[in-house]
Amino acid sequence: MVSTSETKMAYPPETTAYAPENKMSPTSTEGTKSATATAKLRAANVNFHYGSFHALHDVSMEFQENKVTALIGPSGCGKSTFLRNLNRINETLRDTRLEGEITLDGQNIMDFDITEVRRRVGMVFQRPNPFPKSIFENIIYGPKINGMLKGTSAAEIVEKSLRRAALWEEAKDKLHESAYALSGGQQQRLCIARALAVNPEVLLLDEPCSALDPIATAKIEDLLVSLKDQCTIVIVTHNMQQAARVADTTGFFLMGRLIEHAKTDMIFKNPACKETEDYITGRFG
Amino acid sequence: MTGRNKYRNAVNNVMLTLSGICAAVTVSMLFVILAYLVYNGFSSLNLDFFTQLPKPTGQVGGGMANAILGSAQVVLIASCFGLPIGFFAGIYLAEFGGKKFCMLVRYMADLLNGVPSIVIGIFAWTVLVVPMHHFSALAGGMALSLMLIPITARSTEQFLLEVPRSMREGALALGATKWKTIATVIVPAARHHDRHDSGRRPHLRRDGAAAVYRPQQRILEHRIFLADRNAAGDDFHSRRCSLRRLAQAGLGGGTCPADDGARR
Ligand SMILES: Nc1ncnc2c1ncn2[C@@H]1O[C@H](COP(=O)(O)OP(=O)(O)OP(=O)(O)O)[C@@H](O)[C@H]1O
Ligand SMILES: [Mg+2]
Repeated sequence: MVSTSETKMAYPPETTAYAPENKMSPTSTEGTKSATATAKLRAANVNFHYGSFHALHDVSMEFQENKVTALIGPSGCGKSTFLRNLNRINETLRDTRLEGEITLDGQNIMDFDITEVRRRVGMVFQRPNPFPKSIFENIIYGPKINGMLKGTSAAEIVEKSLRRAALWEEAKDKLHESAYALSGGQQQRLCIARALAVNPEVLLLDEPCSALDPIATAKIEDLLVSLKDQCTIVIVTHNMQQAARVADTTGFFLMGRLIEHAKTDMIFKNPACKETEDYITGRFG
Repeated sequence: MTGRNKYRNAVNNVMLTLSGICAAVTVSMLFVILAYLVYNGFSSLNLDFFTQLPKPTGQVGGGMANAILGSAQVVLIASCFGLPIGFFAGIYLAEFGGKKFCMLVRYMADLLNGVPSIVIGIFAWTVLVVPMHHFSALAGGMALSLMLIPITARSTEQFLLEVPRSMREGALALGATKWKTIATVIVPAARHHDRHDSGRRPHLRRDGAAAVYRPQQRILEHRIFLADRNAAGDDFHSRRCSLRRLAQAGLGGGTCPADDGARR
């Protein structure tokens, strides 16, 4: 057991040490290409406040293009908060404050039109949240509002997206039925398909498998691996095996701080921080 | 053990029977009145009743064409003004507004809602009837729309707030603007609330109207409680039903379910 006060004291210096911003983390050195050049998305010294509650402390993290990054950590440590800042969806909450810089392809996401950030950085939520529309309309919603329907037929986009999300076979005969007629796992894959339909460059997934059975989970994991060459993926998960299976690098969060971000192998076999090791081996959290 | 169970079952049965009887009594009053009306009045129902003007008192024949047409006009005018204003005000309250201004609007709407209809009638009379030198459907419609605005606004707000956050975020995360999200996802979701909520609240599965009805019911019950304490309470009481129907029509909630049917 690590006592809270002890952990609290230990973090600040370590966080800076592991911030990929300043020093090369094990991840970046491992990268085959020049690591920083291919960082698709980068957070630098991000602090986030919900009202008076300081939820993220100086988080700096890089997400490499065409890689899967997993975020792990105990409940309430700020994984979702961090993820939700990456596509500015936290801006919809009142009374929040974000400091620091998040860049997409080297450009500050605050300088983009907000709808553009969100189109380019797609998101799948913890609970499936299909719209109260048909399967077809759910998928076509994004392309429609983003004016992407010119030139391509809607049916084509729907088929392609459903195939990418491994849902086509199950859904092709009921495209015009309500999305709520699908099972929970199918709904989650529909939400993934819906996010993919706008061709996001980055896909954020917040515990996408938490409500799913092992078969649906396996399908989604396969899907993530196969999506890698088309987009950059960030996935929050409580399932260590899942992180180990799909992620190239893994970031460990604790109490609003990024403790360690390294190659997944390193994190699980040879973590640099004691807290990471304690968490991985189930000693707390 | 069995003795205790017997006792519990007995209490259960007695209560069920009691509530059933009371429900029957409640409905039977309505049926008695209806039956009486039909029994005595059905013979007078004919085409003339709908198409003719009333004859002077004492004369036989004539109809109620003016009253029917007038009601239709008044309701139409009221809906044209009251529903859109109330609807958009409700959207503002639920989606856009800041805390303080919204509080003020809500408070004012509730206040307006509690104003006895006679006061609103006098207002319309002063502002419209007197300058125009005659009563008109326009004046009536305006008075009614004034009553309609707060109810529509507050119930629209309630509907929209019942749509889960995740639905909004789903649309926003695809790059929708706030207005697009409201117009294409939230409002339709409020209308289909029962469908996407049916997993969690199965009793709403079949009765979509009940889901639409619930938030309004809450507001209205609150309002009746207020109304009971002012002189025009019963007056308000009698007008609330048709108003609720209008408020619902404004959201496309379809027809209002029978009062007893939807109350849960
Ligand atoms: N909307 C909010 N308003 C205020 N505080 C919030 C809000 N959302 C989250 N928090 C707080 O921020 C902290 C981080 O929450 P967050 O949801 O990011 O945790 P998490 O790591 O995703 O946890 P979990 O694994 O349980 O999903 C928590 O202490 C939480 O109480
Ligand atoms: Mg979370």
